[in-house]
Amino acid sequence: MTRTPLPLLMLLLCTSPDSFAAPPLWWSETMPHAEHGSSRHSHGGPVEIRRGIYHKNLWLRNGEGPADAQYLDSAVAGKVLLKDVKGAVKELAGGNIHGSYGVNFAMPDEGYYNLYLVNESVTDGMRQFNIAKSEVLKHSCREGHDHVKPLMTPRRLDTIPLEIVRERMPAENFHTSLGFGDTITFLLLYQGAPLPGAEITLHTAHGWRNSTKTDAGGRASFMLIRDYYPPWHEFERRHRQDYVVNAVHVVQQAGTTGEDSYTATRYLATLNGSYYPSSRDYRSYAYGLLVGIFALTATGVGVYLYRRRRQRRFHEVRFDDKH
Amino acid sequence: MTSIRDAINGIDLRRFRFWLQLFFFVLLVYGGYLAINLGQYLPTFSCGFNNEGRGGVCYLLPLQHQLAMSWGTLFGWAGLMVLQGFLFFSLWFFVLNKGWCGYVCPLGTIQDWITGLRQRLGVRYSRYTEGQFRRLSLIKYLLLALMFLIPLGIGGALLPHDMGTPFCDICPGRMIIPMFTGDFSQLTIDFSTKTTMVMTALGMLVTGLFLAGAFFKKRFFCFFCPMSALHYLLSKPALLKLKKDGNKCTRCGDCYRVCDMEIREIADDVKEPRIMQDDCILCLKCVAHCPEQGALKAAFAGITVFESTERGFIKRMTKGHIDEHNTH
Amino acid sequence: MNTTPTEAKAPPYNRSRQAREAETLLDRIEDDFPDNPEAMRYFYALFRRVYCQGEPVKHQGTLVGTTCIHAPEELIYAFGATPVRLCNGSYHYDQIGADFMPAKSCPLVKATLGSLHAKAAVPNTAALDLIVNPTTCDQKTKASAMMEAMGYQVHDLELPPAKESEEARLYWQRAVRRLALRLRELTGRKLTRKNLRQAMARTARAQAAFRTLHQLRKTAPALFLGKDAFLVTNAYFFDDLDRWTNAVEKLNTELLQRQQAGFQAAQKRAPRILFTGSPPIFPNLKLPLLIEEAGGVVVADETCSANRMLYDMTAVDEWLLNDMVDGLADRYLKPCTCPIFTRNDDRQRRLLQLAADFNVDGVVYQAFAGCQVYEMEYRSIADILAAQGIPMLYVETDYSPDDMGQLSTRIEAFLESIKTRKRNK
Repeated sequence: MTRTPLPLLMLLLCTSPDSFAAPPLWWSETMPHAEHGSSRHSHGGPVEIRRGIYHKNLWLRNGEGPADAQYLDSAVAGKVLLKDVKGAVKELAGGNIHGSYGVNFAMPDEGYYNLYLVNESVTDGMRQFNIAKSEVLKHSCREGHDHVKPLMTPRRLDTIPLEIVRERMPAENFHTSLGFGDTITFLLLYQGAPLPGAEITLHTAHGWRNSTKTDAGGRASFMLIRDYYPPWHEFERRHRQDYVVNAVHVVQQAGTTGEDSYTATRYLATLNGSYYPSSRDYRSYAYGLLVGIFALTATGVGVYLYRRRRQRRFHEVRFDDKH
Repeated sequence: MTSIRDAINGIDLRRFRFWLQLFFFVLLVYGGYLAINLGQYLPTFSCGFNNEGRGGVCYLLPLQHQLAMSWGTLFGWAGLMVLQGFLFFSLWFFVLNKGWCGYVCPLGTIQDWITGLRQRLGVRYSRYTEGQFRRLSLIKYLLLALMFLIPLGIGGALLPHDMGTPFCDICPGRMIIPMFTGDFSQLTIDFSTKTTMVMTALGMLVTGLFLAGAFFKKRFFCFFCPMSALHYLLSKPALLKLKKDGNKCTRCGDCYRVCDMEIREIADDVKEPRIMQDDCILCLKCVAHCPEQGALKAAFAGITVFESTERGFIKRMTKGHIDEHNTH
Repeated sequence: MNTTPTEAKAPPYNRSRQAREAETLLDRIEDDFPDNPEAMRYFYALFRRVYCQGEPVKHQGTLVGTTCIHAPEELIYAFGATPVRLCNGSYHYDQIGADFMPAKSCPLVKATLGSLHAKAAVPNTAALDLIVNPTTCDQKTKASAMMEAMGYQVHDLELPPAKESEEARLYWQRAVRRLALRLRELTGRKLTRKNLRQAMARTARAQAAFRTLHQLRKTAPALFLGKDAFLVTNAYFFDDLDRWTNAVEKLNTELLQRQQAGFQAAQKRAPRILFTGSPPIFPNLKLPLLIEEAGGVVVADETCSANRMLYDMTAVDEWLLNDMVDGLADRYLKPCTCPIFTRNDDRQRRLLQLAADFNVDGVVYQAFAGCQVYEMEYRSIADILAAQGIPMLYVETDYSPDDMGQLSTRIEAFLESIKTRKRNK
């Protein structure tokens, strides 16, 4: 997690073997330096509470996956848009948050907030769109749970050319967190319509990745792997890790943007998320049932033997209640 | 008017109770599917862990959550919220007094069904001796105290946050009631931290003990229930009361024989008219099995709703005599 | 006279002194009062047949004698046996018993032992296979050994001397279970849920019939005289249970009709008396008869030959043997107001409640001479009745007819004083 000045980065990008494959930009919930203080945990990940209102910090990182992405220390060109729960879209300005470039926004309402960064550039005749998306949940149990169902539906912004939408798990609610072994499905939208046959890759926190192509309906599914193996006494069941999904779509169409002309456009969309240990990692049915059945039979046998001993209640004369 | 009263005093209490308990069981365990929500201040074990089906939440769950807030918050404005919750809980409670235990509680209903099973199998039940009764009766107060102290300890950062709902961890309702809606996930032992491991293991032990205990002893768990202790502390102003006229009592002990909780005072105390004890679940079996006219009565807001009558007693006992099948 | 009816030269039974004793009493009961209920004819006829003609009493199965109401009858019925209460009220047998009992003994125990000593006693029941003798008062307790010496099989049913403590109650439950074991050995049958339930159903019906009769006696002016009530309950000692229950139900129907018709069996101003103490057992209905012949009416009683025998009812939670037998045991111990226990709080409350419910004007307390327990309780009962302003007459008597004159004077005086009090109120 080092900070690299952006111009140098651009230089590196230009000199990389695959100059068309610029590293994707994506939003991350994880703080650049853990020692800058801890944030409150909430159902939507780490939050900050100022005067009772939840605020979210997101940092911009670039790189393929969480394992090798870097934080940026200055802004990139492009618009940062926030679509709130009510559907209003407004532009945000980022800044330096705890030493790296990021955005901070308030989340007054319960539900999902979508943050978008659209960065456009033309390089060597190829127009690049770098779209970083983050979907943030705000939920506090104090608000109750009656309003959850209508707010679950993922929303999209049609002005965004390429957008990844995470489809909801079956029976998902505000308390659901993604765990190891869960299968998540993503829907890829190009200009608002599902895009089949595009390449989509999931990167997990320690460098594992999985690529596939979207199917006819524009969907792709990935299973989250387990990559958290601490010693038992250090195990945290709320250990949060980042994942990133990125998708690429190239459109062979020539055009111009002001002074530059291009022969093709490359869209690169990212979506981040968090995953946690699944309850199957630390909850054991086998032991639970073992203990329960042991208690049941021990008590049952104990009472039976106690009755057989005939001491306490003086029932020396026994009746046979079999009929 | 007297014929209505006679009809009520002569009802088959067993059957009435069976159907009423079934109704409340369905309401509280499956009511969520019908979008029924009676709130989170219910004075009965409508388990909050039964996420989909619950028709309301047992007050102990939000109470423990609230008490576990940090002391700064709890003794500040949030404390008002806790008091408000407690007030709603008390208002619900005042309506039925401990009748919530005898007629509504799903865990109590489950125990009664297990008792019915035992009767069908012809296995006899166990009784406590007086010494055991006296000593074991204190456990529910101990559990109530711990239920308050442990979350407060968490709020004061003296105990790990994992113990936030200590009673819910050991309550057999958490394991058993969600099973009725197909959720078996509470039957696990959580190994993520030492605290959760110990608490969930305790919970499974208590569940096993509960099932065996309820088989051999009528309403086994109710004797140790902290909700019962909390009820009793609030029971003075409640609307539904159990009253005894000691002059009419012959101390025949019929009420004691049928009492699920084995309360001796109901038979032996002839001085105190307010005869409901801390273990009582207000099932009213004592009233139904008293042969002396007017010795025991259940009164709602001062109006007698169910009274012990000679005719009613004879009718119920005769029915028992002529029943061919041993129905509960 | 020490002759017993089995001696060869004895006159036929119906001309014996004992038969004449019974006959005299029945004549007084029937003839001295007008308008006896129709349904009482069954009882008059029954007593005449059994006591005056010595007709054998029918029974089914093994015959088990009991010497006290504490013996659980339902158990005996459940094993297919028949219980018969042996407590005797005959002066004839009292005199026989006096030969081998101390002078100052309870006449009831003397008479019972006397009747057991006589080989063909009246009521004429067949040979007793077992006598169940609850260890209640000390005279009955000592009688066990005497009965065994006479050749009977006796089972000591151990009744605790207190009934409040858990130990006493558990002790009694064990004693009842041991009785069940003895009965099983005696009859060779097993105790099953079904036969115990049937036995309990029969006695419950009898108790329900008695309760109806009991409640009907609350009516003022009285529908029914105490002399008949005592006769009815005394018949329970030896009569067939179902036949007795049917007869009482018929009696109840008739009394209900009387009530609707506004019939009065006694004068409106007749003092209503609560009779308590040593039990009047046929033919020793001396005191109740004297009261009613002097113009009073016995509306309620607290004696073990009537109210206490049949009033309490058993409740059972589950119809399984262990609950049923323990429930029965509790019913026979806990509400019992017999003075043989350490405390008599229950008896005091019962008397006060009966006095209140039946609108009683006075209490007659009979204690047999030699009955230590009733004599000792007289003090406390007198105190509580005085505190409530209820007059009480204490009579110490025995089976001999010699004190009838003196007693009738005292009773008349007592009733007069009650009438005066009522007039002056």
